[in-house]
Amino acid sequence: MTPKSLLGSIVLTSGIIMFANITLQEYLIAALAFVFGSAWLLLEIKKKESPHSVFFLFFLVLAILGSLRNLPIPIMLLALSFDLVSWDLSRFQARIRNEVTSDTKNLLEIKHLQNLAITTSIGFLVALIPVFVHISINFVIFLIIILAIMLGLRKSILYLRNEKKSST
Amino acid sequence: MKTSFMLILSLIFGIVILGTITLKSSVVILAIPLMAYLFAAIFRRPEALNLTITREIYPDFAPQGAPITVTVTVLNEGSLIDELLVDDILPAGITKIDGKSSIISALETQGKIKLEYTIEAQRGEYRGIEVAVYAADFLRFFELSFIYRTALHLIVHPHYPKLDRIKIRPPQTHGFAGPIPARQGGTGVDFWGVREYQTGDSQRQINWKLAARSNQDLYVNVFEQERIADIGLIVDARQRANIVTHSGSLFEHSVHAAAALAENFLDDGNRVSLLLYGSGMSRVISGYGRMQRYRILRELSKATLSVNYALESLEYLPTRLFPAKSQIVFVSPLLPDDISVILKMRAHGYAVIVISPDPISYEYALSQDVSSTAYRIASAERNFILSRLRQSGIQTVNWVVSQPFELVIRDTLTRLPLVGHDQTGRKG
Repeated sequence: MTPKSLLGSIVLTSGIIMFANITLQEYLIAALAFVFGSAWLLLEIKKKESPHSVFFLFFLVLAILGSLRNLPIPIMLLALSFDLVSWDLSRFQARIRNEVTSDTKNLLEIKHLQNLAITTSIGFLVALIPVFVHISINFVIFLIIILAIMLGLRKSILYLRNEKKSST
Repeated sequence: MKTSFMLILSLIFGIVILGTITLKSSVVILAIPLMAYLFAAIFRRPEALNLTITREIYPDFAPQGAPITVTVTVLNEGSLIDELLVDDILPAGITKIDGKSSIISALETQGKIKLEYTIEAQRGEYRGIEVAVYAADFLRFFELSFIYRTALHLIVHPHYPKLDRIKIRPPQTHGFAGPIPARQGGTGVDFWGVREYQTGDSQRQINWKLAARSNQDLYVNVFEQERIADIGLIVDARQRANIVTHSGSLFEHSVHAAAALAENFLDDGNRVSLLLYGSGMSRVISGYGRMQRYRILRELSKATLSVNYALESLEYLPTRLFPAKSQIVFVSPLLPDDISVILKMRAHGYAVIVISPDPISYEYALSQDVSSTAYRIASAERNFILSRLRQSGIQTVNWVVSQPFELVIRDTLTRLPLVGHDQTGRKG
């Protein structure tokens, strides 16, 4: 089940990026997306260890470039979401590659796919909200919000680190 | 926290900073799916593990090389675990031959996972195998790892061949019937002598030929009584007496031989004891039967070579542990200093058999250089040691370990010993 989902998500990631860049007449980037997508796909089909993080970063950079070139945000979000799914499934596949097919493995795969689908869908939907709901805020307020989010993230990371230290 | 977690975190920061610099909200929005991904990992991270791990091993007392089935059951008594990796860490000396000793699975509350695999192990006693457990969230950003130690007692005893009956003649035997000639007249199989007929003697025992020659006297045949004996096995575990090479150790052969001898003597109903002389003095006191076989094999399974400067010489061999005039079987590659101690044992009235795995041929089998001067000198020295022992009435078996032990024993110890003992397992 995981290999099929993985191959599908890689095809969709590279397909969306390619299609979006073709519409912008950026044929070089579209070709690069095709080459990288095919390489990733081939490695996964041949069940070889792929540099999944490199592929993930490559498509992420293309999504950011697309956003900077004013490509439709939902399309870029979709590409990024599939890129994230591909990266995650590629890592997951590497972890369970040596496991023998059994009920335990099937259960693990189903649970993982379910959790991943929910997480990615929520992330995609939440990201769509600011696309359709436009609120005009002061740049300073915007900066403060960003800073607050970053501080929150930093605090949670520090908390997690301390928790890990105390548990060990 | 793993590298992938740090990667996502850095990407979120990077994207937000880039969006702020370029004043493009469309770029900042791209950080949202990554944030959702990160928060999902934080939300699902494993809090604490509450696992019960049990292990079953069948059989828990097996010969070296026999397949042993291991079953590990993991029961989750805590909350749901998205990804659980259970890895049974096999100790040195154990090899997996079938099945899988690790599994990755999702484990619900009160859920169970079972690992079943087959191992084979080298001789030894194994106590407690460690199980490494890694619990993680489904994105594997946070991981908790624990090492569980499961109670286990696996004894892998040496694999030994079945020997033909070894015929011994110790000076003293026990009162119970057995296979060893007791040097006393009575009921038995072998002819011992004749005596005058006494009232109550069976007519079947009358020696009619002798009676016909004598003048009205009757004589009866007397047979040699057969009884059991006390046998003390001594295994030399001194490092300096043994040879260890990259391909194995001569001591292993000594252990296998001792196991085969113990089995053989116990099968005949004798009382057998064991002494491992080397690192210390591990001992199994005299006993009979299956329980004694188990005790001896357990002790032999634990036997290792080691250096103990106090026991470098056989001088401190506690022969008093063995009953007077009993049979002693000494399994050792032999050192020149050992001769005097073995001769002393003989002088104290013990019947001594020396089974000596040949260290010279064992070591030179690896180099194949049998024509060297060193080999010839070493062989001459060993022949001198063995001949000194034989001259003193000690049954000596020079065992070239490339030959099967059972064949060497068949050639040397399956006949009753004569007055002068000259036995060798090596021809030529």
